[in-house]
Amino acid sequence: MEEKIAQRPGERILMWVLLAFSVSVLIVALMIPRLENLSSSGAFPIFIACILVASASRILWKNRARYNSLKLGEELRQTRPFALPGVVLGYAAILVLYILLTSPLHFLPSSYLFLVGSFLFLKGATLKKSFFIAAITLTIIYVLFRTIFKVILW
Amino acid sequence: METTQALHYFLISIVNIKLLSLVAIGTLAGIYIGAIPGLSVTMAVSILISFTFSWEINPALSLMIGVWSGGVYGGSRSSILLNIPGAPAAVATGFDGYPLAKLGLAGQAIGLSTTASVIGGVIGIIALAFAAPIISDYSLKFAPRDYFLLAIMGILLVGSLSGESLAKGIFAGALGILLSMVGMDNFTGQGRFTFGSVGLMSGIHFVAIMIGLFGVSEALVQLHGIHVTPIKQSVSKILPDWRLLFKHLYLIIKSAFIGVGIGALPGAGGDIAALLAYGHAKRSVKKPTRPFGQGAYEGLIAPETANNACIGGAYIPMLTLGIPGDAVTAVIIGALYIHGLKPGPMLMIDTPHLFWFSVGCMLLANVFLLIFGLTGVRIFAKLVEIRKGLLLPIIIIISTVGAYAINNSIYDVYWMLGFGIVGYFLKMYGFQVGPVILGVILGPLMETSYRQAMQDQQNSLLGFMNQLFVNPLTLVLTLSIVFMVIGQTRFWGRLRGKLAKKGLKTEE
Repeated sequence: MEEKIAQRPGERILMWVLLAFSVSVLIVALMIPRLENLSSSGAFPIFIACILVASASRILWKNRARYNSLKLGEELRQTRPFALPGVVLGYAAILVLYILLTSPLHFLPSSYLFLVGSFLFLKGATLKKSFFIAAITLTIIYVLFRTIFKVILW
Repeated sequence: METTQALHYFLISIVNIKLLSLVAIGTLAGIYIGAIPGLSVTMAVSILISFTFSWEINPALSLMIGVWSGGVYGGSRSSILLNIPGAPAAVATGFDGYPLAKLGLAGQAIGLSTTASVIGGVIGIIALAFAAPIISDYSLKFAPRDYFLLAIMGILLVGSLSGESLAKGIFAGALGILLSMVGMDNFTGQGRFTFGSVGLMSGIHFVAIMIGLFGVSEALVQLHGIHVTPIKQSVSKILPDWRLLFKHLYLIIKSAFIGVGIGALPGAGGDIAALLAYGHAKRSVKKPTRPFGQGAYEGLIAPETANNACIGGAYIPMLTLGIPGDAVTAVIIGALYIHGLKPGPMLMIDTPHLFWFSVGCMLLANVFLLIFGLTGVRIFAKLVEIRKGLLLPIIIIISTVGAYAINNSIYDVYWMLGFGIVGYFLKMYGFQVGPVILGVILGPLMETSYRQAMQDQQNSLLGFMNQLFVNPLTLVLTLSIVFMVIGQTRFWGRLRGKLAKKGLKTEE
């Protein structure tokens, strides 16, 4: 079923990362103390970690021909436009910045800045409209979540 | 439970104005959420959980059932008008719905899809009302090992049916189970995967994972087509042609049963049901109104009936066994857990009112579906035109508020962001995030069942394996899992090829 899938640059790299992650999960699971029998705390995590390792290895092995058709350097070059195009990278940076600033700046100011910045970056609206739509959106969100859903906004 | 009592609970949502309004609001919101490309019903329900968990269960369920029913139907609208399915369950709708719109029959197509959805939905609810109490009684006989096997089956089914490869589905499911194990072990109180952090002892809240995987990651994926402007079709009258509907009543009923059957299967959801019903219509209708794929009404009616009938069907394993049918039901199970309820056979015994209340809400949602589905087309046309550049930042803000609302903690927002980024990469490389959520929800059930079954056998692996074949039910479950795994191997592919060749030779 999976043999006819188009080449996705970067998939091999992701799979190796996932395999490394799975192996480290297995090591951590093996270190869970009191592994005296098959129903102890560590038994099920080891079982699941083995499944992670086995399935990641299986994907790498089964798709080896497809993965190897692209040289590593070439793959690295193609990964950016495929998985991390400018719009995704830029927006992810704005998003991370927003989440990091939301605690010190509090919800309303940080969200307002985020909305205006996002609208402009994604070309959703002009500068004037961005300020206006962001204000309206936040007012609705604030009223809706504070009054109806009783969410305490920080 | 007495019939009068059941009827009383069934009617609560209909006679209580507050609950009735919540179902109406939920259905209306669901239609638009499902219809707007970039928003999905799973995303909406996951975020809603965090907002409604301080509510009582009845209002929370009313709203969520409304959103769910409306969302499944709403996906068909953008599928018909823009050829962009608003939900996976609406993929098959576009096969003939969009050609119909191009022929200038968008209104007729929306009218037909609405009524077909409602009929399908009602048949699904009737099936649920009759089947669930019977299955629930039977499921009391299930042993822990059976639950363990059912949970494996659910994850395997979602993994194999919804993704491009079983191995990726298994990896995603196992990842979800792993995440469910972070924190304190319920049996011994020992910390697992906590790396000495006290904050991790209570685990990672599954709602933060859900919002990250369904909300943030989806918003990031949507960035890829952000500047593509869809070609919209004009819509006029959307009242259905009743003669046309009556003519296809038999197909509607057959498709509804396909939907109920697929929905009741743990792990298979509306998308599979719709595709199967479409395939069935293609095979069984000898003289379609137009060729399939070029605007056949039959190709629109069948998937639309099936995907809505699937909702009632999916409720059956969810409420009776605690096994979600698909990602949305996994999210609804999460909602029940948050309200202190444990879906499974005991739910029907301990809180039967909840079952009949849900049935009442679902029926009501279908009534509202008919009302809202056949009206408000102008507002709808405006709403689907919302630019993604405006929509995606708003999704992020609502997701952030949702994640924060879980525990009033910024750490849940960080988790949401982390899982959003991980989910983005998983989606980009052909992994489904549905099995991850199923794993997170079913993980504790799986582990508890496994450990109980193992303790019953004095920790003997041989004894445990032996138990997998001792009674007919367990044997059927075990064999199903074995065949599901073998069915995905190259050996099975070769064997099928050989058998097919032999068959051809014999026919010659």
